[in-house]
Amino acid sequence: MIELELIEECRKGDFRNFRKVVASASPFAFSVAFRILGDEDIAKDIVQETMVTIWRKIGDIKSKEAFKTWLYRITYNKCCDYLRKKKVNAEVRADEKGWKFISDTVFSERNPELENKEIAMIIKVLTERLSPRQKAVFVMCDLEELSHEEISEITGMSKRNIKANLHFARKRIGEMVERYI
Amino acid sequence: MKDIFEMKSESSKYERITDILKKSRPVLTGSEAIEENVMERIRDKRKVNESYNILEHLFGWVYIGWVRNGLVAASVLIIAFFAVQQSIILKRINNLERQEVSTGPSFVKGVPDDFESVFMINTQSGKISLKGGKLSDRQLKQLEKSINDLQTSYSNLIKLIEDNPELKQYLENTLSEKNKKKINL
Repeated sequence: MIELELIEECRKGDFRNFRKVVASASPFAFSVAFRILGDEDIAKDIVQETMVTIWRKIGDIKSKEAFKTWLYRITYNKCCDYLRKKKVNAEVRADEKGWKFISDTVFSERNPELENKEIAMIIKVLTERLSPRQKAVFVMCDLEELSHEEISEITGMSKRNIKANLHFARKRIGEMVERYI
Repeated sequence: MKDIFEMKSESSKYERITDILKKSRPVLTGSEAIEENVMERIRDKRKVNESYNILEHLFGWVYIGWVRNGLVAASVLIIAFFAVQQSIILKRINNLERQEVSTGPSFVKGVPDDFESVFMINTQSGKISLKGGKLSDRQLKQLEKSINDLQTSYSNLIKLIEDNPELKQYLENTLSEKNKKKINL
């Protein structure tokens, strides 16, 4: 839980408890970054960058209640910057090992609790053919369970655009699931 | 019929995968290291910001980059020049404080033969201070004048003693008695 009182203190320029803010906000930022990027180390770097940006600009947020959306927005922007710089490889080959693992997981009778490494592999395989926007919308809507309004605030996309991106993301993942599982 | 079945199967697989991913939330390990790194970076940025803020406060009103840089450079030069000048002035004041102020007649008391000997006597006895400073022209003239006066008085005294044999005899006796007393001591 992010303590809103601490956010309010920082917003007013009192950074004595900023370490606590970092401790409570990092897991949220990490979850989004990790699920969008599918890489633990890069997600950790993104979290650090996000926290430094928060320290620099926390005075700009309108209210303490807006903090969580703002945190997601910064994380999303950092992830998009990273993906843009990375230049996604156009020719993506099907990862047989990855699909085999996904297949085993899907048809497993129990509900497996996956480790970071396994989550990263599944996300990478599922989202490798998606654009950064489609990835972000899929992660925020289907995995983080944020509303379309929240996603709109975070990404700056219109609701219509979000729906379109989500539709394409689901369709593409569905096609791949059908093809490889 | 087959399509519908396939659609259902596809969506159930999709739902199953997303459900598994939803339930498996990524765990942030090494959060303390992240906190430490963030705090360290903030400390570094704060240091940079402080110096930047001072410059921004002083020269923020200049919008043209090279003009602003020029002003910063000029102000640094002016401050450096001011500091050097102040140190020179302080050094000079300290030197002046160390110099002894003396008047002519007070530093010649012995019986001089010539100017050089008088000068040596006075410098050795510390009456004329030479450390870190020089005698001024005025002081030298006073010194020369007092030596000349002294030489004139000395030659007058000698002439007076030579002209008066009784006085000469008396002085010789007095001096020899004094010498004897010194030897006895």
